[in-house]
Amino acid sequence: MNAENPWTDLTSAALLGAGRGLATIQLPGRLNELLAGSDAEDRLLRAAGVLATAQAAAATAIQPAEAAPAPAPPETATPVTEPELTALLARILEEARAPLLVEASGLLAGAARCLPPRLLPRALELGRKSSALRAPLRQSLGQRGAWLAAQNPDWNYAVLAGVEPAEQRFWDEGDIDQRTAFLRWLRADDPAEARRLLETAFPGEPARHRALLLPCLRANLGPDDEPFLAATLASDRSKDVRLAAAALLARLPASTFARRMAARLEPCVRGEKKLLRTVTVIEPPETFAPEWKADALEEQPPASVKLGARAWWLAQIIGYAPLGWWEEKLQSTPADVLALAAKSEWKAALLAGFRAAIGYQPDHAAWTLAVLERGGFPPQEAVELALALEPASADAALQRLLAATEDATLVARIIEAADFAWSLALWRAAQQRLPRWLAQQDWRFRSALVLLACRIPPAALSEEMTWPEPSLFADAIADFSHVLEQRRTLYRCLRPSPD
Amino acid sequence: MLPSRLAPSSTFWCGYSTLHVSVLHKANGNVNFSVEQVAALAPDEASIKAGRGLVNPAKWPTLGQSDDAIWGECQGSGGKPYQISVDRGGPAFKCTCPSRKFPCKHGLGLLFLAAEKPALIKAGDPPPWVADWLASRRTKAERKAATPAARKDAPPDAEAAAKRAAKRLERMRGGGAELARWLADQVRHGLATYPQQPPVYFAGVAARMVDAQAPGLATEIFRLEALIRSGDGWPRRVLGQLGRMYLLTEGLSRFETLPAPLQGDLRATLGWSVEKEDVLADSSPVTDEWQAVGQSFAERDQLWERRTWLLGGACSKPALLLDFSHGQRNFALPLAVGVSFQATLAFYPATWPLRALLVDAPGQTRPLSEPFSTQPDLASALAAHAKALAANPWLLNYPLAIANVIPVRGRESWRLRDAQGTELPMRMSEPDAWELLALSGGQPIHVFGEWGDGALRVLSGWADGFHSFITP
Repeated sequence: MNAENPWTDLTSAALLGAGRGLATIQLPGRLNELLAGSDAEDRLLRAAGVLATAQAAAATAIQPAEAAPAPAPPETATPVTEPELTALLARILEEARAPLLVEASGLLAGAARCLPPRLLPRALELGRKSSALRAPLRQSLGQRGAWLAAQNPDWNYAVLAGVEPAEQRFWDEGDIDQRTAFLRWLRADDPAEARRLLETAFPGEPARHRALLLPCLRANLGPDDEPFLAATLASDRSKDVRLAAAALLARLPASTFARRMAARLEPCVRGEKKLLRTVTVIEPPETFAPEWKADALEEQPPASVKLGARAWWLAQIIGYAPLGWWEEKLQSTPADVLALAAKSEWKAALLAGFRAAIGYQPDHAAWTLAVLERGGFPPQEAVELALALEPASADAALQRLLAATEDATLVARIIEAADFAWSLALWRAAQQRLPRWLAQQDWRFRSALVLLACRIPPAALSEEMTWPEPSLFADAIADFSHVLEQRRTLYRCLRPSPD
Repeated sequence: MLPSRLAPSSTFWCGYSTLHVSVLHKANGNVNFSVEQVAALAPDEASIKAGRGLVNPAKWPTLGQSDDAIWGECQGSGGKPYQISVDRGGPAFKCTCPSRKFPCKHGLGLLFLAAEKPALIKAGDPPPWVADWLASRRTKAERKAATPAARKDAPPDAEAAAKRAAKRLERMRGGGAELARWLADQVRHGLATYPQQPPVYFAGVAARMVDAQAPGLATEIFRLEALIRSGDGWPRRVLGQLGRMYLLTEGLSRFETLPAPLQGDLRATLGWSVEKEDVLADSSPVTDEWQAVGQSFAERDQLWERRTWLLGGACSKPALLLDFSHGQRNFALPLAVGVSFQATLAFYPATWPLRALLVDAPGQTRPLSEPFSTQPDLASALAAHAKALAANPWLLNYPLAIANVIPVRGRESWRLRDAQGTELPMRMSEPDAWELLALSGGQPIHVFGEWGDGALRVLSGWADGFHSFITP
């Protein structure tokens, strides 16, 4: 009998079966008296019962080997404790509507508040599932959230929550998402220092990171950046990185890159004498010059592009060339240039090129509007074009599109994709035509309706909405009102009006 | 009764341990049910979700409340809105919707709305469709109240009751003897093949225990089955359980020779409930300000069990209120945690009384404003458990309130560490455990839970306020 641990003998006897010669069972001390005079099976069972009870009563706390983890650092923001706001935030986390989560997180951060501790795991889980939510959520997780995240590898993305992106730790210890955040912050603050930092780190970074970090230079882009970008375009091993460098160089119309593109365009545009007047003719290049490869131009059109090879070359060159070149060369307005393009037999290539160029050179508002209005794009494509613009230009362009469209499906697409702070004018444009779109009973519009409540600018939140009654979309309208009410409460609690 | 003390396998609340904002709103002088109280009334999780979807004033063209009732009209998919009234006393529900669930989502939605946005529900006189229903309920209640009073007047037939008890004991003892033989067979043949046994192997003997009117023994067999699947080291736990069952059959075989409190312990474990009237008559009731500190729900074969743990504010005693509901999770008395109320409890006969009955309806509830009373550390909490177990060896779950512990996430398990630096395993769902950790922030907090099978199942905590973890 094993005196140290009577369980060892008991369990092996029970596993094999007590019939197979069970040794006399002994229990420690006086417990043994309880076993007197029974069959082998009874003795085994009784011993097990007594031992199990004695053991349950003898449970003791264990002395752990490791020290307890350090407690969370004190909170710098004030955690929400108000019942109303706590319940609302819990609800928003539960319903997980991305725009509302982003807005709530931003409002909390703006008011120097953070999520109540109990809601942190749910918020962290949402960020784990959706990387788009990570940066916004990090703003409201506070020190407690970061402390919690450090204990769960799934929540690694939030380890630096509550740390200002301005801290060097973001760059030194963060994941790629945090490092781009740091670089963007630095770029806004000290453009030259940001470029210097990136230039130093660049050779040691994997291609995927280089392709993500380089676009951070878009803010405050200037002639000083050209040498680094040109060197990257010339020598980087990754095609994605070279394309990113070309996209930035295209934003610098004075760069030698942009000038090379203009020079390539020159032979494609010429005047032809016809009867009494000169007609402008646009023709793609005849051949693909080998040195073009070094400027990130592609010889073969990708599968997604529905253009022939020559048209594709022309489209790329137009995309990278300065838009101003056209006005100078043809001595005409963007609208006239487009009118000319629309008549050309290479219309598709020209429009694709101009579309890319306004993406790279969004400052040319006249071009943007001209492309949208005169480009002759079907509304679906015009919307995509408008959505590709910087928010301010997109907002203006979408106002015109919304005011003109009867197509509720298209409106749904706009509501879903225009993920920026809407101007009051854009909201008014939508609000005015809301009843007409509702009347179409479009199912995509129905599901986008609740999102529209997220797009209302704060200044218009308190306005009462009127709805056609009865409506087949009563449920969607109720959801709209629910989200509107949630946003009103958020603003009332977190950004009270000054009066 | 059927005390299902197994670690329940149902995942009723998992993923939905949401929003336990245990604040009782006071609107227009009326105390509304809290969000968690309403959730506890729901027949299933789908109803909770559907009800929460109705927390939207836009869906309610009409809303109103009086001292007795809350009512509203809710726009459904059809033309005419449904009319819902809730009698606060009860609460009782009436809705014109065709749902077979009770309460339906509209009733729950109305109460959720009243809990979250009390200001939206204007006070006023009930419209006729509410008033008529309330009046008919009052009449029925009065008629009902008259009937049991008449029955109570009749003298209890003590002789007949004793005869019935003797007959039942005889049947149970027969069941016990059969179980003892079964147990001996088990260890004679060996337990090595247990993991391969089909469920029917245990279902048969469990059914025979129910037939023998010893449902508690059937519960022990389910527990045995669960322990076979409890991972590494199962033979020892399974053998311990077989031993426990054997000791129960021995106790049953000499039931009459045991002192009354010990008989009470045994009856509770065997599932032979003591009549409520007997409990009320025999025990010396305890009046106190009781703090409701933990609640859990479990279901087996359509029978819902609600366990509500109370701690006496003055007497510091724990008490367990068990409620049962057939088919749906719908209990006659809504009991929320995180509140205290004045009440008189009658304890069931036991060597270490825990289970109790409310002698009459509890008084006004108040949210807990201070932490519940606790043991200073793990060692003293375990000492209290050992003392209870020495009195009643059948105790499986023992309430422990412990001060100043830190939840710690180990590599494979969650633990609680006290001020002495010692630790005990804690049993919580993964999301709940993270929430408890988040609440603590690595600082000591107070926890309340059920200690059993070597781990503390945390039901609530105190960290800048009361937080409950309602689990199945």
